[in-house]
Amino acid sequence: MNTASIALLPTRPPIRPPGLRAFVSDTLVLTRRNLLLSLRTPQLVVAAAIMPVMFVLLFRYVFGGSIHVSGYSNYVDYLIPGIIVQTSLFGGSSSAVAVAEDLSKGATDRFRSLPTHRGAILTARTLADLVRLTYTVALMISIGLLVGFRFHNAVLPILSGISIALFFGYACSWLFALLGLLVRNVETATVTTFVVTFPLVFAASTFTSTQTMPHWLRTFADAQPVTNVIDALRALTQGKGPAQRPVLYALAWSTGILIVSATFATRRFREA
Amino acid sequence: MTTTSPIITVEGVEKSFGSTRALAGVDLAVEPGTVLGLLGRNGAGKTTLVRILATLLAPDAGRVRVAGADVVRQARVVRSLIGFAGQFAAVDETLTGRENLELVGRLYGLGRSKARGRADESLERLSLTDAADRRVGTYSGGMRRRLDLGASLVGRPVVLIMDEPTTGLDPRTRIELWTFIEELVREGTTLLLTTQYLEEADRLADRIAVIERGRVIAAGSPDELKQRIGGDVLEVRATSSGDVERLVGLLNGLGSGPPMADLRGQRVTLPTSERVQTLLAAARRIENYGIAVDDLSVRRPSLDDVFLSLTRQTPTQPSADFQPSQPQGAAS
Repeated sequence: MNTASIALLPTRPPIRPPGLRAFVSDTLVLTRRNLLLSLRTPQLVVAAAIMPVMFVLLFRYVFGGSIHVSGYSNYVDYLIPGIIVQTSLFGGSSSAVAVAEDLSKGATDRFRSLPTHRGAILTARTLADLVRLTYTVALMISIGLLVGFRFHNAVLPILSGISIALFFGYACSWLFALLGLLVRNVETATVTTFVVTFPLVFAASTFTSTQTMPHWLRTFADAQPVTNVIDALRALTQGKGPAQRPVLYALAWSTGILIVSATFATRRFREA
Repeated sequence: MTTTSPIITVEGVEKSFGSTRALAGVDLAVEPGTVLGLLGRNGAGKTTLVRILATLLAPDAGRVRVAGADVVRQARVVRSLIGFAGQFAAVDETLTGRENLELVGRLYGLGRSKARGRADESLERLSLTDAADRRVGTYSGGMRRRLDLGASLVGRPVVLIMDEPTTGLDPRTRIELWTFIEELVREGTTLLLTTQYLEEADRLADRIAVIERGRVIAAGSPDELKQRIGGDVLEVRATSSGDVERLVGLLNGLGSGPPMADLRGQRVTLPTSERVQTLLAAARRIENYGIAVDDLSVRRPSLDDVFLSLTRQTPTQPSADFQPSQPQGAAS
């Protein structure tokens, strides 16, 4: 090699410094990317809203008349908190599909071959889901208000209740991100999330009180996170029943899910 | 010639997935500003090696350094120095071409306006400026690959790593992409590319490493590799595929090496150092045995011949593309 061609060699690009700045910047950049991708797939945005809307209409107008829950003269007041938490869980499950999609299409490889902060990739995924979830929950509340749902408490407890539901949804997106990393395939991710979410949503106080369930089912329903988050949200939005126990249980479940899932997902992501 | 130290060094790299040994001790060195073509069939271990170089996989054993930085311990440094284009065009379909490249720039830590400048620069070099604001979903396959290549250029990498850059492209688009790659190399970028196409390696690479079952079984310049086969190649194309095996037996012993069958192309090739004698001897035998042939010629060896003669020496599973077959009745 002669000197002329050495002079042509590209100059060494600067090495990107690691740290918090890179993490924050990359998280924002990638969250924006994730949100743009969903916004530009309008069928996804609509699909995410259609199912909960159908559930609201179905239970408000078809089944609602024959469901009686003690303490609630208006079934819709009982129903909407359940729908909100159901939405939170289903909303989080889109993380599984998105993570699997990025893995199988090579986007994750590209991001990881760049000096991207590794922690930012999954964080951005779950943050984008939180934004989407907030939109869907706002939509559910609006639809609820249209079909007769009312808040019966002060603003602060109402907002705390909604925050608890969103926090639960956020924790679940980490769980589903982990699932997406494990299955790595969009179709499998879709089926698996359905299998995981279905019993959690229906063996719960989502649509009716757990009191009429057989003993074994009721034991499961009362212990699992969805019932606790719904009960907390109901207590805080309706001002009925004891709030302290379900709130504590809901926070404990969500924090636990978040820490365990985020730890395993981050570890798994490093190896994937 | 001044001696330069290699910009990529691969030493004793091993990698297994479960019980499958993908890399069984690979050594390579790439000089700055040159192109190394990593040639091998599907499953030979090319992609595994490339993923290790791109810091996406850690080797089980051995060391890999890019511009002096270790891909495991200094992965961050390596990521700032390399551009990586994987096997799939990893661009987001619902984003525009420009948005895709800006995203990459931002992930190099560039500010918004700088990332935009780099994106424009990349788009222009790859002749995508006109399509810059269209969503990638509307791009053709060739445009996507170009954009993918553009994305790997945004960081102005010292080393470019491409995994089968032209697989699945039509011939015209392939040649177009080769021209872009050659231009980059002229400017001094070091390139390591994997390919299944000998023609591609022949055209782009300064040096070729043939990889088979996780090992480098041969390395050298395309010419050096062709010389390995020793002189010229006699090629016979049979009229009927049923005669291919017979031709192999017939030609055995006439050349400087054993004849090789390409069943799909109904061809038998034979290395020779005495072109005229071999041609005449082959013609006589074919006539004596009354085998109908469409073509009989002597030509310079292609990399295909090299590849076939190299890979037939290691026991392999039959592949769809190359099926080196042992001559029947070799001793007769």
